[in-house]
Amino acid sequence: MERKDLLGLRGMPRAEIEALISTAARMRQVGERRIKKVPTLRGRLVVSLFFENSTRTRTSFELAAKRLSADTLSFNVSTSSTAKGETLMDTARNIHAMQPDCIVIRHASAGAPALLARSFPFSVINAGDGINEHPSQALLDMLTMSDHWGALDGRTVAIVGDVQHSRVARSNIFGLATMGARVVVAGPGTMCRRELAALPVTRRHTIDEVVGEADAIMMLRIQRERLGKAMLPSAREYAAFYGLDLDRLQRARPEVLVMHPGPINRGVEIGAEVADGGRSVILDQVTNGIAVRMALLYHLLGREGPVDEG
Amino acid sequence: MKASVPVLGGAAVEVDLDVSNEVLSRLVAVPAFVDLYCDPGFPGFPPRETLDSLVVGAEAGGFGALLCSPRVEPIVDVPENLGRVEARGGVRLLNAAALTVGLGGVELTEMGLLARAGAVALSDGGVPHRDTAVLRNALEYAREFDLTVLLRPADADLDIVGVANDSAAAVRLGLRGNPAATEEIGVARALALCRATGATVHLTHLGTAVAVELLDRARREGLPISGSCAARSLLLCEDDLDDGAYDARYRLHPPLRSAADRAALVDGVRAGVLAVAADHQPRAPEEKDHEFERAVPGSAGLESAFAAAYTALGDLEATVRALAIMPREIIGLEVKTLAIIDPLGTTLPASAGGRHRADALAGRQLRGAVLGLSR
Repeated sequence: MERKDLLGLRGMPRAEIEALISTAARMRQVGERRIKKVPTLRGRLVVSLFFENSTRTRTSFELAAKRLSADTLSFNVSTSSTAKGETLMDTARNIHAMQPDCIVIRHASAGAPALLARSFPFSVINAGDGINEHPSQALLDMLTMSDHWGALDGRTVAIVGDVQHSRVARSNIFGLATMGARVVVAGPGTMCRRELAALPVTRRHTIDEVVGEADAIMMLRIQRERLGKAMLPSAREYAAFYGLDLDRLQRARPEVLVMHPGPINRGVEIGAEVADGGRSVILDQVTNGIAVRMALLYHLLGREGPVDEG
Repeated sequence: MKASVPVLGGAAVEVDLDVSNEVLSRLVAVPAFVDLYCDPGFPGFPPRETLDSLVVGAEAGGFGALLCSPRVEPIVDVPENLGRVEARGGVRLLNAAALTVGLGGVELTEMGLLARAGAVALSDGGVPHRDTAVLRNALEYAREFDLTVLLRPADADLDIVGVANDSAAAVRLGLRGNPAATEEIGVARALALCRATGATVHLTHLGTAVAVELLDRARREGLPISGSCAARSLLLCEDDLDDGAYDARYRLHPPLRSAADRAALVDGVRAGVLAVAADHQPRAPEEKDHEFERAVPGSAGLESAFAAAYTALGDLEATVRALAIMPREIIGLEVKTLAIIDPLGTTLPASAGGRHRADALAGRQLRGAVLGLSR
């Protein structure tokens, strides 16, 4: 894979996605050992630069880097320091002076990782840019599905919720389409707008319209700050039309996978008994997240190093 | 070298040019262009532009007059703030004064005193009006001073939503979308108020097919209304954003619309419904060195406007009508300067001495070139 950066899954060739997923499956074995570390990226510097709050994605990337023996450095750029006037480019110039090999960036603006990628020699991994993409999340979702299904061709994945503003949904839509799966989306009109027709998806409205045909149901997190605004009337209205409860799960295919990128709102988009139930693979997603991020760092930075030592 | 150059649709003119005979033989003189919407960096924003770079850019682009927006520092909302420089080189600098105090859309400016002091039109510098009652009053008041009111038609609330056209390109790129309805609502409102007040209105920055259609219908109806689009919007559309680079050059406001909208603008200009403006909004490099959403919207336009319009229209007469003749009619102005055109020349907006690096058309080879002005 001749690739400096991972900015998104839009346009990424199938062979590269397959290579990442298969490397990730191997990387997972490192986490199952007593000594969870290989020397592949020894002496390399991976910087995480998060302009938005994140615990799980940032720690997942940092743990992935540590398991590959890279040095890690974490910048938590709160919104206040941006308010002090330093631009993204100036922040990046400062970090560049520390000679990093890779920057993992999360930023509120779509295209911010692309700007760094074309301006600097270090590798850039997009850990979420605005409402655009969150490719490592989609890769871990696809790894989770492929653990259960093997190939994704011909499978139907339902994505339910705020598809319009979800970078997780968008990266999954691009990746799943490339991998031959069919994506059906559902959600409130304000969050699942007609413009989504530009993406390779079938658009429906309520969860009842998609629950029966899906091999996997991916529930998106509802941001509570959107409730009661012009975007969404209330949590109970949402649960009534778009939430996945036990009753609805019983109308799904028996082998269906229930997925969620987390953190979940129990009782809003997903019922507690569904989140904790036998069809839920939510915690597998977390484990797979570390493996996928190890695979990414390995492909972008460390292919000359050994992977199986340790 | 003194040489004689034919004037489009007229006699010849004697000019002083240093070009080969081959180039000389294909030159034509046309009425100098008049920019209906120029948002200069002067005065007040030296990193964007100085008076000198503004004038040099205008001359290089064939502009004999610029209608400058009041959105400078200080805002031209009182007679004391009107530009003191009336002309420099071959370029006349005309002032559109503010319609409302501070461009705030609340209180009316002293339009009478502003007109007496030299303002030739009124404009709130592209800031949309939230309060339709104030806008109606402003039009009623302006009518009696016979001043054309320039409006950028937009619904003020929708206007601040999104950074790219709300359709396929925005969805693909994950950029927040701004709907075409923003402008369509603004145009419908402006037409209704034009009809109700009888004020002379000019709609700037048009970018949608619906706007062209509504404007055409209103003009047939006989309303005192006109409209223009930016020259670059005849060539660019949202698809140009689609290379995944999030290039801040294309961060414009209003955003580039669809390919169908672009085609409607070209048709509208060809049919004489729309005039064309340079929509010159120079930006300093540091204003563009940002992520797409945070980059300051706008693009230089004076040096590329003619070639952009000519490339899109493919017709010199239509280009001259849109950039030179209609603007004169719209602001009721006589400008005798001529621009010397080489229809077979090429314009490379990026190569313009590094002055206007933020031209959205930088990197493109455009058809036609301006050799200068002749007074």
